Amino acid sequence: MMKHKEIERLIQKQLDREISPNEKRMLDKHLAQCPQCAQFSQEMIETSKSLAGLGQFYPGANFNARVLAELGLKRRFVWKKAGIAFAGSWVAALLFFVYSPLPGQVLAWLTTSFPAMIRFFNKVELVITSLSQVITPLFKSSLTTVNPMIGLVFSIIFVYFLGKALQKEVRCKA
Amino acid sequence: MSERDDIIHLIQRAIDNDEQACSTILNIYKGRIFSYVYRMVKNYHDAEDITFDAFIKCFNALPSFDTSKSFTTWLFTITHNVAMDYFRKNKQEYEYFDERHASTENLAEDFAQQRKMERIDQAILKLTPVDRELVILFHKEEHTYEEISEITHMPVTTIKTRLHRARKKLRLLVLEHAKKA
Repeated sequence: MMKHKEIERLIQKQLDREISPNEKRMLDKHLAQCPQCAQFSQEMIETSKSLAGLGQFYPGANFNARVLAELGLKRRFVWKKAGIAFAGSWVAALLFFVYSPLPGQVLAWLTTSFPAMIRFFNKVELVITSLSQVITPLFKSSLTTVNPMIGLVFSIIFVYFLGKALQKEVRCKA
Repeated sequence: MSERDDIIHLIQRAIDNDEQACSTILNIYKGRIFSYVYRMVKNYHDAEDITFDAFIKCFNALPSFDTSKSFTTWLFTITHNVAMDYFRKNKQEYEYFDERHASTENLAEDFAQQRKMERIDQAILKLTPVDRELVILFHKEEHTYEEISEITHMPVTTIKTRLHRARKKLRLLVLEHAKKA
């Protein structure tokens, strides 16, 4: 029969995940015959299992903000990116309103359903007419006066929702 | 994409000062690092300061991180070094290897959130800081002996000897605690 000291060494090896299959067989054989070692082994295994299941603690709620502030990370708007996105979305919206029949139908429904909207569009139309004559000679034959304004609104909304993507974090050297 | 690739991708983004990537790294590791430090120093505020310094050092040193190695082991190594500086600076109050710090003080009162500590947690706190660290790194964090050696700069044989002794002591402490309960 193996000595208790030798068995304790094997139990520790088992907990170290380093026991060989042969040593495991020897250990199991001994534990089956020796209640004292079996109890010791069981208690050691349970202690190790409890360690693996230990809970986790967390630092304070503003920990991330403190670390990021210390690193000097701040969000900055990338104007070049924003300009391209804005211009691109404006042109896309214009083309959509010019060539798609859907916006015209929706606009017709809105203006007939809400008389106040007709009055609003009439006022805006005066401004847009002169602007579109100057700014968009290329499109003026195909554009209605309302389209650039709607395109503008869509572009603003588009850039607003892309706001986060159009920012980048820069590390500010103090 | 594997978990390792995800981490490497996050690291690359963090090197480019991507705030979101830094936040994600913090969210993944802050609990593990803070728990490891808290169990070592036994003081919530000091643990938070050490965790804070460890992450600052980690982010500043990210460009020099070798992506072929384990990020977790690297982060734990930085944290261990910061904690050791802390032990050195506070030598009056703390001693990493000092057996006297394997005390019986009640830490529940010190813990800001007044969380009910488990029996095993109470037992761990009665070990020396170095033994607590080894037990946590091996059993809780599941690092290998080689990784623990890299983190703590201790020889594997010393780690094994200390860990075997710590486990036996923990078993007795848990039994003692159970009897009292």
